[in-house]
Amino acid sequence: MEGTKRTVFWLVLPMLLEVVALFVIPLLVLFRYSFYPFVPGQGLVTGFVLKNYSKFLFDSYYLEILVRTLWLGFLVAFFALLLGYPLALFLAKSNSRFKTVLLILVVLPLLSSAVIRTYGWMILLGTNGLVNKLLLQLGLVSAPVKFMYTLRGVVVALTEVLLPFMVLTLVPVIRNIDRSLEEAALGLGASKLRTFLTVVFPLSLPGVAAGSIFVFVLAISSFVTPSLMGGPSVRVMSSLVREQAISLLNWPFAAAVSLVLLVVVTTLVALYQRALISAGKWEVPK
Amino acid sequence: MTRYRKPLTSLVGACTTSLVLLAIYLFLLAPLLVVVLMAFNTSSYMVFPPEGFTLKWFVAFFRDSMFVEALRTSAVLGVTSAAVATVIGVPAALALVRYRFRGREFLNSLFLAPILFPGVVLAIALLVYYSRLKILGSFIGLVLAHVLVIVPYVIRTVSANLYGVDEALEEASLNLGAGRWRTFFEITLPLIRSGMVSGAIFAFIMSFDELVIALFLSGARMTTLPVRIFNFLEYNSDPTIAAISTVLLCVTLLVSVFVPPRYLGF
Repeated sequence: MEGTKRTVFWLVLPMLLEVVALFVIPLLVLFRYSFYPFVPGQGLVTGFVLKNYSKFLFDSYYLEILVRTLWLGFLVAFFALLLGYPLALFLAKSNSRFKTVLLILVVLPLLSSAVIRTYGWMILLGTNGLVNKLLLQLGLVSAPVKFMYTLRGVVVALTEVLLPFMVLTLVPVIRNIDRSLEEAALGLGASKLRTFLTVVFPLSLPGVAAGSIFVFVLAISSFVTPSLMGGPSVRVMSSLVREQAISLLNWPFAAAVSLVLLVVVTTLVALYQRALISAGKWEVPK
Repeated sequence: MTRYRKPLTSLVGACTTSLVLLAIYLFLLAPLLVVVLMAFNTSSYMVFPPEGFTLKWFVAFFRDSMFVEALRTSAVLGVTSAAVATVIGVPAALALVRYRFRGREFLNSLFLAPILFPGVVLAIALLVYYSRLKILGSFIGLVLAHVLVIVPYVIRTVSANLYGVDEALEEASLNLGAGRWRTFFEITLPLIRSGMVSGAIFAFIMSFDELVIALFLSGARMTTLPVRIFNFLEYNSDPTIAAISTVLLCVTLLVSVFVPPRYLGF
């Protein structure tokens, strides 16, 4: 027994050191930093003030950024669900020969950098981009739609960037639904649509919740797409942190803003894990 | 009546389904396709269909010493971080899967936590911390930061592999008198090789593509390729970037070919 304990200790030690030294301690330092006062041009000034948090919470400019970030998360989660659900349903139910290929095509974008995919959207959604040309030619709009530096453009690009996460969360949940329930409904004369609405969809709701929260969390903490597609006119929490930290060198305020974001994210992740547990997908490995 | 109507409605249904799926796939893959098309297109604007085939944007990329230097940095950083992550991650996965001990579940969630952690929060935390330790802008600092966010991928794939390996094989080896080390190197390691290789490849890809942490931590002296592209894109756009992105994409695709589909996921 003593031998086992010692083995486990040595096996986890390197990882434990890494996590403590580069995750736990830096976060504690960040927390302390968020209470430091900021004096421009003076570097580090120690002290304890609540000003960084009150500045965020009582200024409508910053609160607007928080609200915009949450609204962005909501829109992206909604559209990702709208597009992801049919795809997941197909991938979970299909017996197609190309199923593996089709699944890999969903994963493929995940293996490429978000920078590249956002760049692709910048080309597609420009004023003279392919999307606007198509919309004009089809007569759907009379003037080019402005996507660059608008929330609309960020939503389109970010939905695409995060869609695979939604699909990959939904597929196992839908696949785990007992087929005999569906067959029973069909056998008893329910139409395909009715079977879906009254049997499959309700049983997949925990997966819908898990996928939506997951995408929401990734959307509100995403940095690349809002920064490039949105620019300074669509400020979100993460780009605010960068602006304060890198351009304005106000590290204490950047620390406070990032911790506000962290609190929102942590709360949602707790909800996400509860949704996954009730979906029966996420179990603590035994 | 319904007997006659059914084939038609199901045909219409099948067509609608295919069209909807096609549209979703098009949406999902359009940005990558357009970048690759742009990289080989003679015109410096995005025109569709492409005007002509050229490699001039690739030549422009390889002539630009800043971008080539960034590519080199990213490759070295990715390989180093993936190697360190594998060396740290495999023993951790072994302990979490093969042993029962107090605090195991806690360690499991602690080790996987960096995956769901907002990158920008980690980036600012490390920026503040590194500036205190005076290692801001150093290569080793960037390696350690990347290791933190990529080890979870190694732990996950290796764990998945370990669960599929029969423990009895290891027990037999121990019972026959082989020591723990010998059992590990001669029995366990060969059995989890595919999980280890996949984990290391994932780790490399994640480090190679990582932007936010590198953006906060790398200085003017040392920049990774994603950071260089990001900085460039904030103010300009040029098909050279499409060529670079295509190179980046090819590197990622080439290495991910070696990952068995069952380990693909997130």
